Amino acid sequence: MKIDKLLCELQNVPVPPQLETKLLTAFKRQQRWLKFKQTTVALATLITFYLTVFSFTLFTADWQQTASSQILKLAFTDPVQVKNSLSNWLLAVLESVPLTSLTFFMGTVFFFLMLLSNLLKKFTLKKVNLYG
Amino acid sequence: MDKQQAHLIRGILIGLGVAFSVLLIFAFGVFVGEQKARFSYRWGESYHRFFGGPPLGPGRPRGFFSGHGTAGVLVKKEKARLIIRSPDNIERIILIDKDTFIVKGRERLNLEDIKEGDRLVVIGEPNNKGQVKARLIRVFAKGLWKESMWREKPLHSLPSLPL
Repeated sequence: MKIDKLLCELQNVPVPPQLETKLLTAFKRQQRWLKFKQTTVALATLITFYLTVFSFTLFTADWQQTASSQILKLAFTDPVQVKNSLSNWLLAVLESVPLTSLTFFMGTVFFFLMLLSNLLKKFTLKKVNLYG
Repeated sequence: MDKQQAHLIRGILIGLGVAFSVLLIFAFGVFVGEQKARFSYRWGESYHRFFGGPPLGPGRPRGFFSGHGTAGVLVKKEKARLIIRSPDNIERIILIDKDTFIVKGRERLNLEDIKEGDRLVVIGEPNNKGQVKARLIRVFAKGLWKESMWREKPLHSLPSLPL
């Protein structure tokens, strides 16, 4: 439709009103779709933010209930002994980490950051290329 | 070599690198999981021998658990071993030998200085009987940890320790 309009302008022929109406309708539809996309992304960002906070509290609660937090602290209280049994300490930490809540937390952080970067892209100024 | 070929080769190398990293991480995860499963299986197999009651299958009462370290409440002290109940209500036998380093605060302790009810954090290595040979035991006085984390009574019904 845009090409039809361009052709009319190039041939100095007046653009038919039906074509103008069709172009306007298509433009409005596109604008509505863009707005819907932006609103959806903003809403999804908000939801993933709350999910991130929720998963973080879940993970910390889970983590406090396991021996992992206590074993990790040994690296600060007994660094020499931990260094002597480093492989045992490392395996002890890895074996007792609450994997499910940690995976859920990392997943929500990933999606939140992805959506946030998408949202922020729309608000950053586009660089003007002065050299064409 | 033209630009397209160089891009293709770079893409292939990046893909191989990513695949290798993923496989490495997966293999490490399998290794750690295997350690847990092996210890849990041996613990379950030997449970009735040390604690009485029916033999337990692997992964009971609640999934697999760590054999290289634990934290818990000391429920029983014997000549060269301790029995600890961890927050997930699993009883574990901790073996003490001359290489075990027991510490509380900044002072080194002996086995006699540990009392039942003390909160312990243990690092060690599992043996083939589902026990943990302790290398480091750190003792905490009662009240330093959140008490709700350390249930005084076990949740699941297992046979009580023999007298």
